[in-house]
Amino acid sequence: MDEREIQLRKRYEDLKARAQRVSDIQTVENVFNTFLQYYNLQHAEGMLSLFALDQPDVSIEEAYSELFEGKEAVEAYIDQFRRLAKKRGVILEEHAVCPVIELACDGKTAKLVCFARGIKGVAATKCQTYLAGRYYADFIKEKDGSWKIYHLHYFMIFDSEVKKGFMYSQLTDNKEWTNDEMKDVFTALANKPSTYWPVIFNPKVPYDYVPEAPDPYETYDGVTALKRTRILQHFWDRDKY
Amino acid sequence: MKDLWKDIEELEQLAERLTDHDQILNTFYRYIHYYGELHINGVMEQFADRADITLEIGEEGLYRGPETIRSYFGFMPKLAQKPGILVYHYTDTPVIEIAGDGKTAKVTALAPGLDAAAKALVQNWIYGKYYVDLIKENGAWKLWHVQWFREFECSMTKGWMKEQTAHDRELVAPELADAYADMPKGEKGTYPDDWAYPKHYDPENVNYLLPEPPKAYRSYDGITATEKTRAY
Repeated sequence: MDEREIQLRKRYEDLKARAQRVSDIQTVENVFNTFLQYYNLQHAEGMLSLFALDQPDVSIEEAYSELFEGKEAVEAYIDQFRRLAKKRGVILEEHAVCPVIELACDGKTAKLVCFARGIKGVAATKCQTYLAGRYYADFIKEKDGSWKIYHLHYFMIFDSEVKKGFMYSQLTDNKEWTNDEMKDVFTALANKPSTYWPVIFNPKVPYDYVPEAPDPYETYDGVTALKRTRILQHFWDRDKY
Repeated sequence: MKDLWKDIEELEQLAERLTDHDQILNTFYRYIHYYGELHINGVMEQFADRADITLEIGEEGLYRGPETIRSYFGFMPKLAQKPGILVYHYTDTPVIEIAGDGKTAKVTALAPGLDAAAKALVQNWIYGKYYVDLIKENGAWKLWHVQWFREFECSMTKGWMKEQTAHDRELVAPELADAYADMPKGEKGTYPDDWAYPKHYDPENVNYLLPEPPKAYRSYDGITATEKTRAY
């Protein structure tokens, strides 16, 4: 190889690596949006196909769900949506907005944080609510080059009744899921305690913002959903959180 | 050098798919922006220059070909001249699949929005989903088949549990009816027969709010908007 060819090869490799990073970021967003579209359809097979089920610590945590970790736990959590799908008058729709995606420098994992606004309707209790929250997700690139969800955590901000609005209503106290018609849906038990008991918007106190948008990182070093760079010292125990 | 040229060709293909991804979304989003502006020329310019373009809008039905589709959008210039009209209709959470051959693409997206018509005292939530086929035409991505699935349209004060078809009232409100008077009737839509037609979300029944997100595909083999893969 002559000097010119060596230089060209180097420039090619650099361009290829940059293009691959852009492709990976596009793919990660597509995978996440695909998950949400399946979630809105209560399509369990679709949702499960997007998780890195071979990873022993693959996990889901949603609002008050506590932590479902490992293949069997994640499958049990998702399985609940098969039951939900058979109930009358259910609409559960989450939208992803303003995603921030950071691909690790080593290209093996990625982190995504986005706003999640949604709506819910449950005929059994005539419940109709506006949902506001945020998603944190870790992704991992599998051996075949596909991107999968590694850790998923939904942080609820409020679940407010349409008639009242979020200043006067922030939670339904799970009434829509605990009545006779719906109580057999969300029965799966988490196998780990919650990493974060939801802090719901409260008009009377300062709001606690997590997750923050992910920072650039070299290589995966764990879930950073609760990492804070803004600390409300008068409000939170810094050591605990 | 031979290997390097081959590698560069592969890199060019990857770069092409990356730019395709953004151009596909831009075309779709332009359509959405022009729709909200009630800009009839703007929406029509996003469609491919083909006789087989289609538009299916909720219960209005299926419209085939550029002339019929333009005729459907005929309400836009009339509605745009009325006071207090707001069409705030956007999309999010898009899933994009570009065919392996790079000639076509499929997009599904969620579409929440609202509209207002002051004279008719309309202030509604409109929720739905889009399924779109796009085709690359002279190097540019264009809309080929557009389908809008209405989930519900409801008054903000009532909510989606109590109302799903507020649009029906809007079409015949005396203050707005002249804008829709010449709207052509579409062909029967492609909604499955077992749907609660014309509304989509139904509080009294089990729902399946299509479309599903598109799957990876090699080359175009037809509209897959109503394909159901959920096994229960």
